[in-house]
Amino acid sequence: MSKGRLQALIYLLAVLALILLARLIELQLFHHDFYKQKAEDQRRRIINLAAERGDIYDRRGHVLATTLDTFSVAVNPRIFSSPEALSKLLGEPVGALSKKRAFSWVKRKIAVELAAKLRSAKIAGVLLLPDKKRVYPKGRLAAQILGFTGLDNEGLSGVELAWDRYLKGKEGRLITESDPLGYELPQMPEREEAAHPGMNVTLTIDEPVQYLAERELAKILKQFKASAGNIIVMDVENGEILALAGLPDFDPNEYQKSGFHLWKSRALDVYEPGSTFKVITACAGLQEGVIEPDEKLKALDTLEIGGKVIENSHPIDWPGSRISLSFMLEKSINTGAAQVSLKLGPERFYKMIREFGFGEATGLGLYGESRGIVKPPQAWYKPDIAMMSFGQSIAVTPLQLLAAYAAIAHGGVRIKPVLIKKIESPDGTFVRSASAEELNRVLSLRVTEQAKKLMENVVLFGSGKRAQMKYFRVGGKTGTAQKALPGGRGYMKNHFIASFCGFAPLDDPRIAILVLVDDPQGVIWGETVAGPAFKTVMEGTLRYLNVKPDTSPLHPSP
Amino acid sequence: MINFRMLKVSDKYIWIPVFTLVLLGFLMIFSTTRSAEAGQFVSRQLAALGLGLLLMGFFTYLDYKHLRYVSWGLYALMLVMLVVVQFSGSSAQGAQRWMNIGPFTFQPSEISKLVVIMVLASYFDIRREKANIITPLILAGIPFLLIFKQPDLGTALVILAIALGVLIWNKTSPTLLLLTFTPLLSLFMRQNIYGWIIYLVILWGVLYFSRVKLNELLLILGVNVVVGIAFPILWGMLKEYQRLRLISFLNPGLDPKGMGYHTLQSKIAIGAGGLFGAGFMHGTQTQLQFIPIQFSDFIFSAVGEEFGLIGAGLTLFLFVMLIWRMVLMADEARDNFGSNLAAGIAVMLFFHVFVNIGMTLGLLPVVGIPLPFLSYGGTSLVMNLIAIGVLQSVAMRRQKLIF
Repeated sequence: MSKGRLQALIYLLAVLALILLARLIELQLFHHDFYKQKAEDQRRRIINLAAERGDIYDRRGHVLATTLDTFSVAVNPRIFSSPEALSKLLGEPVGALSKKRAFSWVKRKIAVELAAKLRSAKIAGVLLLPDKKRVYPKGRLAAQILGFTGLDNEGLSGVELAWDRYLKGKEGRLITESDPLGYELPQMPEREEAAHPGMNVTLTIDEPVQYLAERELAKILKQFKASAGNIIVMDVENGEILALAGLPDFDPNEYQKSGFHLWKSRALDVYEPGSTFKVITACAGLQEGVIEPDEKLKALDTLEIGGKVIENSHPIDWPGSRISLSFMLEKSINTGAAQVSLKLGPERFYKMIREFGFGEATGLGLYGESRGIVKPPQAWYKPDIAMMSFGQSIAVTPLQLLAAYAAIAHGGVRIKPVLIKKIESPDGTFVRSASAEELNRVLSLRVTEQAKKLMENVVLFGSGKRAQMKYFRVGGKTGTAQKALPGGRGYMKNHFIASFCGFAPLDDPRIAILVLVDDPQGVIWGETVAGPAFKTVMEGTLRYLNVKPDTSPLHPSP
Repeated sequence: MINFRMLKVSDKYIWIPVFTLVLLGFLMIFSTTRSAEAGQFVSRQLAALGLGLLLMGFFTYLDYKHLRYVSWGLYALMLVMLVVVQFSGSSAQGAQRWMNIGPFTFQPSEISKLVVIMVLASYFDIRREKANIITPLILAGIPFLLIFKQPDLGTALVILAIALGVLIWNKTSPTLLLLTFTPLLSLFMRQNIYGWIIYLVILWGVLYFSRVKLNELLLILGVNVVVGIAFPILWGMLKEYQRLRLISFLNPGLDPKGMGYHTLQSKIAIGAGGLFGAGFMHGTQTQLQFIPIQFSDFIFSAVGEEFGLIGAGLTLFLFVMLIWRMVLMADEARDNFGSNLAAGIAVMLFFHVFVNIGMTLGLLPVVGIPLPFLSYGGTSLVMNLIAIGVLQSVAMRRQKLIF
């Protein structure tokens, strides 16, 4: 045999062996970390551990939303063989219990007693895993503010959604190893990353006030067979919302059973404010100096502008005579209000409307808050300036209107409405408190005093008589707005929004309240529908807050 | 009559790797089948080992010259078995390979490899200078086709490799080398018909100016043309899973849970092993059976994961050492028959080792051939041990032996 042939074979063998060796080195040394990671990823199973979600409290620390420990049921199909037994206990059909994947939820968040029963039944392949369940111990109370959470405790609506970032906490992880079919390996090491609990959120809501508002609202909705309504109670000193009642509502504990249109507070949606807006018009006129409180307006039954005829809801007693600004508000005379806005002119009227905060969201801290619909003067039709003076051709949110009234009560300075009072981590290391935030000055103090007097006159002599209180002076204004047709195509004939907005006590105003009733039947007037509820809630709130009664005469002469 | 003095002169550099590899094989089979019906695989393999050692001893002492004429009888018997298994064999995993004799099952295709080596060695010994190329190709071609049809692509390729290897060993003419390698190039170029025609023209030119004899030139060109034409037809004959295997080899990442799954999982296991390995019975990928039926063709990935680069490298070294000693024995054999026997066995082992390890490392497509001595499989272990016996028989009687 030739030596050359043998040598060639050795080289061939060596080269091929070196190729394999090089590949081994490539895989096992150079790419070792990559493949190790791949191997780990393949057999790792991550089970998320729910973090304890933060509680939601009212301003006094009453629990409005909290988290309970519960159990969820899963099955491991490899071991699980008696779906009949589990079906009997859970009350789920057998078909729903036969799962293919190695780890499958069967029923989430079961009752504690049921969990105990399941545990003692000891069915092979059934896993009881600790879970968290969100509960709202006050039931429907403040449901539209609180919102609710989903199956994995994620915020889906209301404060739960808007402040989810703080409430949710940080999920923990349970890392287990599994074989290619996904079965957990008890002998493999487990790693646990603990969950960090979420932060507690304290609302400005005062539970008794909220309760009172909801009770009164329910009462009048029933009495007048109205479809919906809101009562908002606001502390005018710091902008804090003490109650934000909205009906019809839902039970956040079983939100799935209610329609989604009930989930959001309508206090954040637009409506046409109607006569309650005349206060804004009057204040604008006084602030801009186009009219004085004792100045006389023409008493007109109709006023034609740009082809549109403005009418009053009630006929004027003495047409052609003259009426005061106060009388215009007391009797809610549309033609009177229109004269004020016409004196102002579009530019100044628009400027004052914006300064009152209309056309911008209040930034309450809930999603879906409307800015309102306030067109700039360039976009106005000729009659718009007159229509807007009594709250038509303009859309505002109930909250905006109340905040504007609160500005009058607060000495002419607008204050930002607040719903979130405090956010605090359970260990106290993180605290964020809301403080009263004063915005722009809308009215001078002098105009503010004049406006308060005018509004008091409405309650004393005009349409607001039903809001009179024994120990407190009240200022306010009624509204009976025709509901606008969708798309701005005019107004509905027999559908109204009755409202009352005002504040008390007048010496040193503390509380502003808006009562709004959508589509009352039989009686439509804000005075009749909303006035008494306003009084009840205002009196109750002032008494509950130990507010000092007014010292000045309760019934001064006109 | 057992002559222990003769055992002394047997080649210990063949014994050492063989026994080390067999031991390693048992460790790995134990490790990879632990979670299966415990012990069943190991005990069955142990039975095969017993039979194998017995036969290995027999063939070691038996002077290999007796195989010269017996091989033709064995060859005929083998052909009969290959035909019979087509009709009455039991099948597994889409191939009809197993034959039942009483309680035992075995694979005739495993036996055919060694028989083809014997018959080729015998042919070259008998014909000497008058030997041609066509007869060996026919002798290997018949079992090749029968096995290819089972279908068992891996073993068929081993038969082909043995035939070519023995041919090269006997006739180191450049013509023969060209004849061996140019058809592969032809296959590669065949992907594009115009490229293929240009390739054939260039090949003709190279051969013509190299003053290759006309009849050899025509043979080489003919084989290239036949391969180029036959390939698409053979491709059509392949089973769907075989085609998918070849395709998935080109891009295993394409379908990680499908056909490329095996290769990918094998690479992950080996790569995760690192330098020192996860330790015996501690390889997660192996213990968790990420590689289906790892104990058979993919056992090297278990070595790589549990014993790391050091274990895998050592295994590779043992195989290289074994093959090298076999080549050396082929070189030093006292006669042409012994030399061809050793060369054929060396080629068989060489092909098995490099294709199997290359496949577990993702360098070659997945063709189902076992890793000698390590992979689970009774017939394979017995036949490999017999081959070692035959080789030792050649080694003990080689030229340098002085009695």
